[in-house]
Amino acid sequence: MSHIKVKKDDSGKSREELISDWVHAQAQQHRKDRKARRLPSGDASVTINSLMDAMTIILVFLLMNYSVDPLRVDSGDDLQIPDSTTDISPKASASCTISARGIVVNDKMVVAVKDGKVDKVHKQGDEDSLNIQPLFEALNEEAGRQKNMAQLAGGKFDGVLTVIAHKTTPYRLLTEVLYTAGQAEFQKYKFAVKKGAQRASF
Amino acid sequence: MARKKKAFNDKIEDLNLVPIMNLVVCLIPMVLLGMSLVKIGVVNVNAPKFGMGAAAPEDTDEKPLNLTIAIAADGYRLTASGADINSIMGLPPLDPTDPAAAAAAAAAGPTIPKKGELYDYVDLYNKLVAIKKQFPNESIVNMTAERDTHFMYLIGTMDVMRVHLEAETYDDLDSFKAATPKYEDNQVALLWPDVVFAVAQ
Repeated sequence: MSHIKVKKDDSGKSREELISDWVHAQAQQHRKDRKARRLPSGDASVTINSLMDAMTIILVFLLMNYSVDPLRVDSGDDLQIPDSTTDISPKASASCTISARGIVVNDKMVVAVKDGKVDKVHKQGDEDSLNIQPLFEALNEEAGRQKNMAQLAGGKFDGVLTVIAHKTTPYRLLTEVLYTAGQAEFQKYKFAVKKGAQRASF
Repeated sequence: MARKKKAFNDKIEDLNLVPIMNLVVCLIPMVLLGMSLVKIGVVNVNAPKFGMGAAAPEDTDEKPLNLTIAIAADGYRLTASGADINSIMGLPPLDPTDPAAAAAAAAAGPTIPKKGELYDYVDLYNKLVAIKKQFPNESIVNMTAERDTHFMYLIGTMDVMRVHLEAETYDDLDSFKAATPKYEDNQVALLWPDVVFAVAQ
């Protein structure tokens, strides 16, 4: 609390004026004190705790979804899988992708596709052959790997192959891939599709 | 000797969350980019059969139906080596001893022609239900197609074949699209779920 020093000899003010000044100074000081109480002293900072909580929840949710999905499809112009009414979820298995540009096994392009066909060079020169040699080699290697893994786990090789095919893949190319997979001891096939479509939509 | 009391600061400093926040803000877009937002499912098929019309096993009393659906550019063709399905579908019955009549029937055109640009999924469903009623124990169907037939039409056809819907017949596409599956013992009733791909070599 501040005090006003009354200087009787210098100021030349009357007693009433001195009292009035003192009351005014008191009111000003009071306002200052109130303002100082309202604002925290020091640097102002934003509270990010609640934002941090929300972010952590979003991150955990995304990571859960990311890890649960056993089949990943990197859609693009050359790979759009068809819609289906199926409710069967994919399981972890060997996979083979047939895009508009090529056939991919284990993220490695094994043979190119042009206009929905594989060049006859890859079919031992016979255009009508169903066997695609580079694909057979890649799938045979994959089957060997799966067999070893099954043996180590004490199980049995199930021969399941998930085929991720572009929606305009011709039937002929599809059967060539399935035939070649059959030669590499894959006997059960699953076609990857987009879930939740309406029946008879195309 | 009196122990000097350690000075204790009552004020607890807030944890600096800014670096963690930076990390999380970077991680979220990375995870979002890496994950697919589309729900993926699978359609099961069995190993392809190369060469049409497999012979029936001789040790069984009952001849299997061996129903085959061929997807052509102009519609569906339904055939069965184990029975005359023409009579089931309301078509003139085929004489199995007359190969010329069979060839003529095959050449006559699709059993279920396209409706404009679209395959007639409704008629296909109606006919498959009629065949299933005659052969309730059969579930295997061979599927073949012309070499240029797109994969999505195979999936669309398999969707129609797989599940028995509430009604046995539908008149129009809208009611067929809106139909829900039939349930038997709390499970979806299946129609022709076991698809085998077939290729004529």
